[in-house]
Amino acid sequence: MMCLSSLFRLHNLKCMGIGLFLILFSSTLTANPTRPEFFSFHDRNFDGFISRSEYTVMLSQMRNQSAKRMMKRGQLLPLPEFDAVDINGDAKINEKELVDMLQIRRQKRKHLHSRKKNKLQRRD
Amino acid sequence: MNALRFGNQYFSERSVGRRQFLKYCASVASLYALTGDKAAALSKALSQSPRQSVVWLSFQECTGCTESLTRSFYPKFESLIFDLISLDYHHTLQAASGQNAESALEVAMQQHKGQYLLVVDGSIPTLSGGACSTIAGQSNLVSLENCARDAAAIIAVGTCASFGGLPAAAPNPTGAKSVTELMLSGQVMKKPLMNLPGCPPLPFAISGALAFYSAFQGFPQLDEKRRPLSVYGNTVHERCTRYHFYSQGKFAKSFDDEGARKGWCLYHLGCRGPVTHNACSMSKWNGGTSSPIEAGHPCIGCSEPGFWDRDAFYTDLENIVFAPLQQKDIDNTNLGEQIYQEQCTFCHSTDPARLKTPPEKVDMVFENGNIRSHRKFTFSKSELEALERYLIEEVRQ
Repeated sequence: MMCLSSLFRLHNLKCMGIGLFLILFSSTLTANPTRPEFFSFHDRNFDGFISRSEYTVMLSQMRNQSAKRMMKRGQLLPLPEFDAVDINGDAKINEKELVDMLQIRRQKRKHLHSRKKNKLQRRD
Repeated sequence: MNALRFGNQYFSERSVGRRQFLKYCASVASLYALTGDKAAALSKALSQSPRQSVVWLSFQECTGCTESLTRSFYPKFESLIFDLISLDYHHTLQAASGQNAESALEVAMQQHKGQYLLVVDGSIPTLSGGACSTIAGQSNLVSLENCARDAAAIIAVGTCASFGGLPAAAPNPTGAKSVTELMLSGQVMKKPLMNLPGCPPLPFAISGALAFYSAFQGFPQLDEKRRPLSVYGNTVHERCTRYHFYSQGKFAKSFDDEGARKGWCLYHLGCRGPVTHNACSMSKWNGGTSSPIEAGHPCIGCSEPGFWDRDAFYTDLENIVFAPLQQKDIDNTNLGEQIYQEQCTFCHSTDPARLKTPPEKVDMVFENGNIRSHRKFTFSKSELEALERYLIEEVRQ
């Protein structure tokens, strides 16, 4: 009887230990729901946002030789300023804001193409 | 002798006529759009202040800018250097040579430390330790560094000094750089800078800038490329003598057709007037006689950045402006570059060669829809092909 009761206690302790372990480390095992996922190469601190300083670094890298050449020829849309992308004004750019801005750029590009195409057709 | 009655004795001693002097002041005032009181201040300052010390350094250049300056007509060149400024050092114009010339530079820099105006024409070679161009055993970069340190301000005369110009054209074997580039990269001390681009710049722009600085110890209002707005604020096209033909749609189609003989617009012969900021049409050349367009040659856009490398001369501007679209139908490499630079770089490395996804799998990644943010974009098959081709090219390089 003694043996069984001690075994039972031991079993309870094991269960408690596993429970405690799960509670303590659950945050590390599963993703933190408040922390957004990493979405950009330019998010240097992996916090899920692009800060103003990260954005400045990104812009300076974007102004490379190829981009400058294309900009001179008018083949590239101007780079948007941080405040123009940060719609909610929280001083950081989230994934949605960036994607929205890129979609607007895409629409602009399509619009420019169609305008130039029409102009060319008129000229011909 | 109608020598000056106002100001110091300086002008009267040198027989500079009052009319001549006021004419010059009025022309500078109108060029720089000065108000009435400023124009009076200009004439007063020029007549009373000591001559401004100017050190002129010539690097990788063709002497065209100096030639342009010597053709200055308001004021005449001799009047400018003997009466208005003290040109203490100029390779081409100084009588002294060798050691004497270099010691003159040192004396000028010591005497007018922190006050002299440094004028630079020509671009500065930076490759091979600056060995491509040396003066008195010093590379151009070292000369510029030394002179810029104690200068009050710098004027970059000509397209080479302002934007790199011909020496910086691809493949740029000497690593030629403009004064602005050197200042931005920290190779030369930052000083107040004014660019006077042009190949060569208008004589009036150079002499006017020198006079303005002498009078007000500063620069007039500049544009984003550090050019004086009063000279480079408008395009050549806006004040072109052939503008009315442009409005009427009368264009010369070749250099020997009827339109060219009748002086019609040279737009389709490759005129860069609509995209070139300069005062050629207003101020003209050779004492106000004519301008290139007036003489029958289209503007070649010499005062804009990228002159030489930007596009081909005598090519219709419309063909260049719309070239990307025409080329895309035949060759999509450019389209791929455009997509990458305009869209992908916001989430991926700006260097396409560092993209983790192999180029040939880019279309698959998009079609799978495994990446959340990719799902919100739709690219046509030809666009994805162009992107793939561009990435393959970049990885290969």
